[in-house]
Amino acid sequence: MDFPDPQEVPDAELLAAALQGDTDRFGQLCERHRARIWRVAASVADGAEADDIAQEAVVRAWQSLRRYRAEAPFAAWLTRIAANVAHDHRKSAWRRRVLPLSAMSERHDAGVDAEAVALGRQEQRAVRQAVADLPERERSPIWLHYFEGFSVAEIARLAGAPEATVRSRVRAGLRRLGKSLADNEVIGDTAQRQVLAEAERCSM
Amino acid sequence: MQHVSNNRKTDDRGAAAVEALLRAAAKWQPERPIAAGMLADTIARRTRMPRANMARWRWAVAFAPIGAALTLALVMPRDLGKIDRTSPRPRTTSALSVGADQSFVADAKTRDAAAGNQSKPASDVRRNAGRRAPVRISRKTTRVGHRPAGGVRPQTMSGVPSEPSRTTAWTTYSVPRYVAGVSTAAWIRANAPDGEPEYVPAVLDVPLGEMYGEPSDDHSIELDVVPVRYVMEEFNE
Repeated sequence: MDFPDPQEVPDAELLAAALQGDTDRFGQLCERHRARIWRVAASVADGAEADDIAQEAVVRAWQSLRRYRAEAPFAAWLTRIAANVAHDHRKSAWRRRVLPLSAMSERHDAGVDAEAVALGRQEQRAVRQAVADLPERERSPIWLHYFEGFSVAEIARLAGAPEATVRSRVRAGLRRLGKSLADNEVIGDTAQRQVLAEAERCSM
Repeated sequence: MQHVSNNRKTDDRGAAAVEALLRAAAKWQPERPIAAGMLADTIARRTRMPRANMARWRWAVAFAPIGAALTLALVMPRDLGKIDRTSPRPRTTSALSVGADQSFVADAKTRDAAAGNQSKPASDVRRNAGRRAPVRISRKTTRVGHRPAGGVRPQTMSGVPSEPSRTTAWTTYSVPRYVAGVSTAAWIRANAPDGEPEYVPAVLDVPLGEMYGEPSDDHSIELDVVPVRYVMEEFNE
């Protein structure tokens, strides 16, 4: 008897088995989308902490699997949970205590030749972290739309809200993000930052 | 209006700038890839282990009463034997097993008839058998070493008092030493209204798993209330 290659089994089938309590199938499903989860986790943490976030995300997903509504893409749902875990990590007391040390070591390790590249990566990461810090209703649509490429319609189905509401949340999130990034020291003295600073001044 | 319009224009430029930063950030990739299989392992570990633990706990809960009963069954005879060995009084507990109760009652009846005392009729004895004595255990205790000689009933070789009192209304009791188990026979120190203490045999109703005092106790223990199932008929008013 030939068993199908796990990669060939559609998400829906794995999901149906997972909903019946099949942890192996759910594990396969998470492995299939591990790159997305990992991008979220590694955006806000390094080393073992990133591993912890990714693991916590899949455990939370398992625990709340019954609440998943099948009309939205599973990947988007899973990514949203990962973003929530990342947000919690950013707000946790433990992270606030250990961040200064890890941030210092990261800057110290950056070589002179690789400085420009490292700074660019740092800037990108700072933006992702700023998104992770947003409130949930703004964080999920922005993360899923800009970083993971989900359409507004898919995000609306995931949120159970009209598309117009999602767009409104995205706009509100962009404004909040602009204020946050204008004050962010990691963001270089780029044209974008100047615009953000100008927008910040005008909104005051 | 011009001001609003300018603000909107600035907002739009700000949003565009933020979007540009977001698009750049979307290209970011972690330096280190996630280990393949780590998430599946996590699911297997974190979701199955609690269930296995729960199963173990269920077994533990199911077998706990049996284990407790077995432990008591093994420990109680040993402890009671220890009490007997260390007691300066006769072997009360062994004499007050269920079988001893019967013989004690029978002996008492025979003795009573022979002595011509005003003993209760046999029908009373039967009627009172198994009656729960409404007694309250006194906190007053008497150390064995300081027990007044007059307070100890003369004993026969079989541990049965030779001159049982049948008219005393027992008011308070104290239980000597250590009692444990479901139903434990013991000599209890009974205080009569006239203040003359007597030691009377009784069957206590100690709940399973509970004990009063410690096996190492060598003196009477202070108790408020010990559930006395019944006091031997010869002593029960």
